[in-house]
Amino acid sequence: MNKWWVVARREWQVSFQSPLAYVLLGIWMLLAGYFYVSILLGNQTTNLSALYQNLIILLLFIAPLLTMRLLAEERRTGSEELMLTAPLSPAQWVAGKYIGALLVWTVFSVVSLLFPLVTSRLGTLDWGITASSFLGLWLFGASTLAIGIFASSLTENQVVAAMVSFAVVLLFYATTWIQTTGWVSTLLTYVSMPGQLNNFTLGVIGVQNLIYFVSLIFGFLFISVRAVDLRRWT
Amino acid sequence: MDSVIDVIDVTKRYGPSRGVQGVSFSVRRGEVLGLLGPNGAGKTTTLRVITGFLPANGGRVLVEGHDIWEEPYEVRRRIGYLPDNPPLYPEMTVYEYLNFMGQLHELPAARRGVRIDEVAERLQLGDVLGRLIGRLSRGYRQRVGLAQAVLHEPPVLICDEPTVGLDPRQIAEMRELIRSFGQEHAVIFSSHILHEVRLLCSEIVIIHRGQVVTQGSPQDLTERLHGGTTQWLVRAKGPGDAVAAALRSVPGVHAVQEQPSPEGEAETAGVVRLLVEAGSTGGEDLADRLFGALAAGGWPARELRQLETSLEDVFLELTAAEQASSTTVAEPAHAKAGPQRGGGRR
Repeated sequence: MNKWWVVARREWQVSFQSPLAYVLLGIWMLLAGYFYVSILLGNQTTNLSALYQNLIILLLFIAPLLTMRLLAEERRTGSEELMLTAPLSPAQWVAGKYIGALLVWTVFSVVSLLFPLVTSRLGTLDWGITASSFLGLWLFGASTLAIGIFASSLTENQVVAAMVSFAVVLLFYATTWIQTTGWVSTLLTYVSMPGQLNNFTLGVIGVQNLIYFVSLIFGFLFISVRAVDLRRWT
Repeated sequence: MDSVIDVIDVTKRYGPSRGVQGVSFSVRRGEVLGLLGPNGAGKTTTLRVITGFLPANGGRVLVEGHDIWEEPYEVRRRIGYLPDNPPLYPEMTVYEYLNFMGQLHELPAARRGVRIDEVAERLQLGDVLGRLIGRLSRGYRQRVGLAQAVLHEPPVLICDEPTVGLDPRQIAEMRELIRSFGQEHAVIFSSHILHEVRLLCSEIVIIHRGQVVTQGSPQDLTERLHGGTTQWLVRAKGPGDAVAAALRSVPGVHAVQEQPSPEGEAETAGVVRLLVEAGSTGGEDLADRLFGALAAGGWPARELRQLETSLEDVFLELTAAEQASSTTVAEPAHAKAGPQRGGGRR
């Protein structure tokens, strides 16, 4: 059995033993339900891409809370020491933690499929757009978790970890808010998460959009591993 | 080269004044090595370098010939580690936790179950396997930490201050466990309690302010301090000067002096109390000769015994030069701040 999977499975079990995951899941469903109803009634349309855009905003707040514990807590309690002296590489450890959190997030996202399901019973739903929007949401969540685990690797204080990851995700979210022209503008649009998500809400799954999210995830996981490793040298 | 673990001239620096310097020792299977020193002397740092948690600035650590930096996984597989204040996962049950650690240490499923049962029985954890670790008492947690460390049957077992924070009965149990594990593993453990180290260890390394002050077997250390002499207490009924003179003439005896009786204890009338200093050789013979001298003079002996010099003396003597430090060495079970202390490296 792969060791990262051993760690991921533990992470998954522990997540659903604490009230935090349930509270967050409750908030997630409550607010998502509210968005769903208000958008559906306000727009009189079965196009759910507006709902997905709002779920992404909601995720900005929830994702840091899902990841803040991951490495910061291990460091505070000292269990990090046991993990790093076990026959387990820091990369396996961080990957396991990340996959565990990703599984929890997948539960969140899958539960939100309730809304398209209900819509499809009441009217005609464009499943293509819904599927690509869902994928966009899931990828966005996966990258915020990677950013969150990085923030969690920097500190032993969970609140600090949550705030740092919120700030970094928000920056990625808001890069296009600044008015520029020329190559700077192109660059900022490329880095911007909403810019990369546009295609998904239109029903397009672009290779370059996938590459963007996948590289964001691997990039942040990589520096998290480096952060865990480097800390021992200081 | 039958040693299981060799620590060769290990140096670890943090900033200008902290860290450890030039620590070397070897431990064979069936031996217990004690790392002794006051709080903050560098014991935890030394152990962390040996386990590979902290990189050393110099020196090598070899476990069964594998270098910790060249083959970290070969080494980690061979080490069981019980850190100071064992960091467990409070939200898991004891069984889940041991199973998890067994998986990380690559125990196959069937073997894992067997080992968990064995270890649970040996550490008397059978009743709490299904309980959450967070609900266990301090003594049980320490045992779970030890269970985790020996689960994969490592040749080397490293325990950082395993008896700190336990009550007297638990301390006795923990010492007994360390002694028994010392028969099948090479054990390194740290302590700031002399008595404990003396009780359990075949080899002692005394560390103070990051430096090895001295090392050797408990007997070596006491002998080294007293320059190869032994002291004897003799009590006999007779005239003081005559008895002292007779004892002085016994071969091997260097000096005899009259000793006041300890405070609060009145000496029986007519009985002299003498302190005899002799060479360390002779042992039992010397006792016989001393007794012979008393008998020849017709002075009934009341007491005749060799005085043991304690490691406490060795330790105080060795560290006394640097009296500025606020050592708490002689205080057994002196509570120290656990979690903060361990995390002080950032």
